[in-house]
Amino acid sequence: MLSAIAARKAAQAVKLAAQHQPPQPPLEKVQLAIEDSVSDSERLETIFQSQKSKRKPLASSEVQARKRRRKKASKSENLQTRYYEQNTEDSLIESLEKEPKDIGDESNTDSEGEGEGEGEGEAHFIGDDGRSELDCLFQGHRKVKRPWSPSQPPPNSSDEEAAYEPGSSMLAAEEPLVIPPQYPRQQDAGFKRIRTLSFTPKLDKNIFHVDNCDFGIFVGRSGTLIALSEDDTIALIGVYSMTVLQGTVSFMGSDLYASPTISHTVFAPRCSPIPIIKALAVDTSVTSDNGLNISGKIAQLISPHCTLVFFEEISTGVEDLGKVCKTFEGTFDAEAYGESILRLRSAKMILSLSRSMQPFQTPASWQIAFASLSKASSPNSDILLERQVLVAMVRGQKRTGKSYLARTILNRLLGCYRRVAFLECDLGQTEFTPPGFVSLNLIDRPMFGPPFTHPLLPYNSHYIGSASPLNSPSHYLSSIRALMQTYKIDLQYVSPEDEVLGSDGSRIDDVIPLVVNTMGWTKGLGADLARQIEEAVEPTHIFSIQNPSGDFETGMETMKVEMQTLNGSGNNHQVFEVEPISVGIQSTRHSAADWRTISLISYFHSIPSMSQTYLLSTSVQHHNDFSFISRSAPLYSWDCRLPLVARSPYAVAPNVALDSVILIGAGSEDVVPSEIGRVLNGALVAIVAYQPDYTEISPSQAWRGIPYSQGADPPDPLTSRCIGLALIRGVSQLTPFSPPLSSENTDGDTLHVLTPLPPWILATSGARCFVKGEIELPVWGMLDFREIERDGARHDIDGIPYLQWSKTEAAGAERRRVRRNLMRRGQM
Amino acid sequence: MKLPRRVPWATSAELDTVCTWIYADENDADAKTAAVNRLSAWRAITPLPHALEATLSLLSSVRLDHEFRSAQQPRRHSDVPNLKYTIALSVRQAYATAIVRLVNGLVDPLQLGAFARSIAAIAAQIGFPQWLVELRHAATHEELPSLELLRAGAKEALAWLLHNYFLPTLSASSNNEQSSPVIHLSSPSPIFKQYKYLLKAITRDASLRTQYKPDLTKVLRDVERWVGEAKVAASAETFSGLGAGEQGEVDDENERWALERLCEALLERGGLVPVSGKKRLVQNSKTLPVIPSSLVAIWSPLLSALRSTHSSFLSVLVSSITKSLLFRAPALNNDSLQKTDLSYELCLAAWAAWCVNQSDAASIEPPLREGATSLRREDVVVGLVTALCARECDKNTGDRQGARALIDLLVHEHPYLKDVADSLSLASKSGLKPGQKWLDKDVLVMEERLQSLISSVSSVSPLDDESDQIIVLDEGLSTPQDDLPKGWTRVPSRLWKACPIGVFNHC
Repeated sequence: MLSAIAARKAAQAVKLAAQHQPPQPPLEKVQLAIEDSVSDSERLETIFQSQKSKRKPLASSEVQARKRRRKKASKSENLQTRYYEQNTEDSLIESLEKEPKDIGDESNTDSEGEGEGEGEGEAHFIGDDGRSELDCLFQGHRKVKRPWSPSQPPPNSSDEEAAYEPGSSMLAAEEPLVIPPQYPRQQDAGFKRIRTLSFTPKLDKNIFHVDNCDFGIFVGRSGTLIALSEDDTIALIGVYSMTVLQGTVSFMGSDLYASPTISHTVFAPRCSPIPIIKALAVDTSVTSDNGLNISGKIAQLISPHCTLVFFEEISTGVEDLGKVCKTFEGTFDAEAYGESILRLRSAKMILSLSRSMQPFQTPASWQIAFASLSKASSPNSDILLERQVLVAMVRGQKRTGKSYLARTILNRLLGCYRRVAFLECDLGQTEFTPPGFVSLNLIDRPMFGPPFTHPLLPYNSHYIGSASPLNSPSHYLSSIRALMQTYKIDLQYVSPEDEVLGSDGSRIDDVIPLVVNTMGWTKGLGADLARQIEEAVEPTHIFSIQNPSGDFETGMETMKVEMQTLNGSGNNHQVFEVEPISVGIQSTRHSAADWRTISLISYFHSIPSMSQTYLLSTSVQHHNDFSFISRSAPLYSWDCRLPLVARSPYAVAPNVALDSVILIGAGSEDVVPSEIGRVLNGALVAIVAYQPDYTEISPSQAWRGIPYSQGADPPDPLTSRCIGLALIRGVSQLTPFSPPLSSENTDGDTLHVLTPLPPWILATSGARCFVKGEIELPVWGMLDFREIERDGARHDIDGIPYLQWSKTEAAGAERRRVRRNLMRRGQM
Repeated sequence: MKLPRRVPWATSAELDTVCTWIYADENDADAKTAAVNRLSAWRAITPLPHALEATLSLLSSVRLDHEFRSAQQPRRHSDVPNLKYTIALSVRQAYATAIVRLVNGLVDPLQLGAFARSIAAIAAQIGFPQWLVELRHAATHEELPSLELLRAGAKEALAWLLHNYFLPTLSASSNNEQSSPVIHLSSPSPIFKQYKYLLKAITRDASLRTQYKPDLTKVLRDVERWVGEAKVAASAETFSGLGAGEQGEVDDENERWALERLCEALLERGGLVPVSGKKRLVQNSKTLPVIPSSLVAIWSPLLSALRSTHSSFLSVLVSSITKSLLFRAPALNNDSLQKTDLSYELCLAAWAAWCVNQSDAASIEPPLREGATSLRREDVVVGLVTALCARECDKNTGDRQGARALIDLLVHEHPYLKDVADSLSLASKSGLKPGQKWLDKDVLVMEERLQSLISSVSSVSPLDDESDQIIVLDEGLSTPQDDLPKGWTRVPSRLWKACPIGVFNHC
């Protein structure tokens, strides 16, 4: 509550300041304004208040806060009065948030309580509260000294281009361009995060509710229209559709121009950086009439100088994923944070960013790199004149923001190109597929949201079956090479016969550029793999994210646009050294394993829509008539009404439906045929299709109808393609000495299979091979969330096979744990 | 919520079967083969508990050895596989790898400190045969041991696994009331005593510094080793079988537990607070308690060493002190003891203030480190004030002079905090007093708050009716059966009943 007041005050102060003074660095003023506006008495109140609401989520101490919360849960329930007193927003969220985490924790709390003595005093004492407000003040002080304000928005790309020497040809530039030294220093600047949003909502002044719209192409649609002045920032949490009607907004590293026909679907959960919508200056000289006929009372209120954005609610079902995987519960829920002034059910506007929320901000070095990218994509750039297709590759260590960068590049390119291809080489944190895949995806619209919010069917993919290529480097590399071949043959240059799409004029549609995301394993064998990927991909642009732990000073000096010309090969590419993004909050709240879990859960609950067919290979399209499907229809939605355990599966007769079953992964060679049913039971398998002429595979051993070949190599990537993942949720017979088979199925087992893949994909792909790797179904996917909600997830739901709730004290009962940071005595 | 762990067996009966295959008859090669096949299959399902993985590799070595031996006997040559290329070295290597990996895997999870403890020490703590540890050392770094020795080692290792993994696991699942093994943890007080002795000598005579330096380093390492041991003990106390993602959190909890035990020992008389009442405080300071500089000189090396390896140490120490100041039972004995207690409390308060000052001095420099348990003056003051006021309300438990002194110490150079402290204590005094009665008004306020809470929760639900639309979409996509590939049929959803993953539903 208090932060909201402060934010509003701050926003007003900014408005005042903006009226009286030239708006030089607007956001810096916001910080100062907070400081000024908070009087001494309020300061005391701040501390006092926040002390009471001791469950405030905080960025810096998120981990500990969680821990403490768990400890304190039972105590606060005993102290009923205090529970009621917590009437602040934050405590509301916390009370919503904490429920699932505390479920089943009672036993723990008891034992921990003993160690704490009389917990009441302790609870107060270690309170981490008030820190955000106080920090706000202290930071404000420090800030004054620094001339450069990182919160000042980076200049937009058009300015950048002007700053560059436009004449210097990109591929022929001799001298490395060195970025001027007044660059932000990340170390102490800490990449100052936006905390306040400058837009002050006023109903019917700059916010208009529109029911059954009566203008232009929006007839019949309902939503909320927002008029932003220049430099206004606004942020929403949840899921929403956004259409820019007038002016330009800067959004997640891209500039979105007015285009009433294009609505962007945005997924903005709290677990990933919050996208900020920022209005850019409206160029009034261009008064384009884009079919926008705002009528009546709204028209009179809107100035032609403001940026108009139309928000609509959309229902995708993505919110329910948190119900299945409780670690992400409520992540789309902004009820407690946000203002419902927008009158959208699926999204709420937030007025300030609490410490637990990280804004999506792109470092300035990214912007510079982007500028050169958009130059390369402009119609008369050298790269296009030479008929060279842009291939942008992102590389860097893990946790440096590779996938954010790759996604942002993808979204930016989609501003210039009709379609963009995306090659995923990071097995652990995949963008469009579940983990364990290398995939080639064709994308026709920007993707705003974390990876689990856009599960797409791949154009082509290969299953490596593990979150790391460590155990199968050669299969990994040959898969990437095969995908590059697919890209070069099928996608790179669009053949005229495929151009039935109809051109939209403004975007390039005769070539398809490629964005390549690589893995974060950059040492040892990983470095060698990365080099070979680079050779296979032949990028024209490399975005190299610097090592965050490295010496930043020297990093700054080498931050330059350099030219590397490989001897003789003519293999030119431009390398941009860019800053790492601070993924601090994300890394503490959710581990890489958590993201893999939600990715798999999202995949199995997703419903791919028919409109994805336009992004698939033509072989699928030719088999079906999809002309009735709109191109702009949503690509996917989610269905979480039933847990996986309650979904009716496909029954697959392996002797009829399958040619081969292959196990990959270290040690899988030792699985004898009589055990294959057991291994497949509950396993995740990739569904793989061989080329029609490929007949080499002939399983030597079949076990009760399962055509398993022990020790077989993974399918050759050049002659196979993987269409997706399936869960074998049941195998009819597990034991070798089972009773005679049932009458209707006399010659083999039955597999019960769950997959989100639509039947038309299964049918047209001719996929007749199952490949099991090391990726497992997350435990969340094995639980029935309805039971958890009903029974409160006590430990007595024992009896679920393959799950063990009780702890065993036996030695060696844990999985192996590796310590790599152990020091020897001498190192002390 | 705490997640269960994925195990490859449906019920523990399946584990029991494997256990029988392995141990029932030592010479039953077929049963051993069945066990190896089953364990290999399990391994492909999900990563195995370390004990099972070690069992698998021991068994496969035993089987290889068995084949090797029968191949060497010419009479039975016909019915054994061709082992022309297997030499004794292969068998020895198989055994050696199995033993090395078994020991490493058992010991590594218990390397909880920042510094490595000796494997022998950890093995002793968990009751693992010492000679197997020596065998591990030989197999890793020395001459590869003889086949005979390795055979005996494998046998002993398998026996140890039976008694320490299989039997406890199987009996735990049949009988949950299994007593957990008590891991012995000694008191750190003797280490502190020695430390104090050394430091007293050094501070009195600086020339001794170089002479005692090795001893001092040793003592500091001993403290570090004790923390490592305490963490092992902590992991036995707290549940550590959480999902993989929470491992860091568990480590943090274990460390905190260990540090709390350490602080308990430090706070004993003769620790941070000298036994002699006279040495506790600077005598002439009337208003605020000040620790004598000689005392600081003695303890600060230890405290800063602990702090450099455990970032949360200072905050744990201060929290232990405040807890002790606030909640220590008032002395039941005679008045004289009561009096010395006061100087004890004041000395502790002075130490806590010293810690906060140290922490303040350090925290100016680096920005907020992610996840670091930083110690903040504001938190301490506010915590103390509120706790004191709450105490005052319920009963008059002594003066808590130590706690008051600590507040004074903390705020006296921070006027704005002083205001906070004053206003806070005022605020809570003006709150509910013991005699004051509940008024209807108060209940009304609370109800109002409850209402607003409930309404904000219930307004989330309207989205639910949206899901009906998804049903339609779903049905629209599921095309008739003939569209499915050969061999695929859809189980009609009306016939389907929910059943756990891995259970075949014969419908």
